[in-house]
Amino acid sequence: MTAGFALKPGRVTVLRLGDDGQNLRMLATTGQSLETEMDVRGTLARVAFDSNVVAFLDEMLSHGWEHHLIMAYGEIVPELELLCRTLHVPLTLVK
Amino acid sequence: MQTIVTRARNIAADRVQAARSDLLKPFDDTSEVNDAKGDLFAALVLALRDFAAEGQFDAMTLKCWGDLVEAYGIAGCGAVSQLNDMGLFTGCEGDVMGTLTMLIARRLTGVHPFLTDFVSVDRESNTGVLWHGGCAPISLANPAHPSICSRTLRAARG
Repeated sequence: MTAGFALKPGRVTVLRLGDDGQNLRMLATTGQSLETEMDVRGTLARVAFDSNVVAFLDEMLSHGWEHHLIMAYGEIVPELELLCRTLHVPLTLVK
Repeated sequence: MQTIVTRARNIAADRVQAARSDLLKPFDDTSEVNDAKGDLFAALVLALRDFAAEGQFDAMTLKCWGDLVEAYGIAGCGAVSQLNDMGLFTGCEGDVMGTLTMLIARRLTGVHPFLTDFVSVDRESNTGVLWHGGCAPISLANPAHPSICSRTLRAARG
């Protein structure tokens, strides 16, 4: 059984806590979830990236980030910076 | 996995049937869901919720892709969607760190997030599609468009 719908529009932060095989690390970027339709089954969002979308994809592929991302509604980069600084987790912010 | 499947199969029929109608209510279209599949769906949600409550788990992840379908007969995406809507952080495909990222995102935003794959890029419009097989909480659905609870991801929606 699966749910199927397009996600609502709004400002988003796309992030991922991962590890590079030895240490934790965090990846983040921001964008706008756009008004879109469910043109394939499943749950989906179409996001206009604030950063260059190809640069973000290249970061993921070139540096071995895990393939799952988390799309969070709202802009939380300052909070992530504080969290990562506190926990001594390096943050890769793609701007 | 076998523990959850056994628990789901042992949920009392009256609980399953009562939960089924509640779980399907948020969707605009449930025409593909027959009673048998709907019962499996509801029993899985109840089994996972009970399991988390007994263990006092804030979060869990389900090894849903492949294993669950083979062992139980339905995909777990819809159950993951529902559990997240209930506030029980549930990640896909055994992704522990992804589930932990969901917890962080929820704590920082107050809104339940979406665990997803990054499936396509459009260079010209600088956009990308974030898609996952039916696991986002329905509270994130755009109310301007219809939502569906379906048996499979296979068919294109007409």
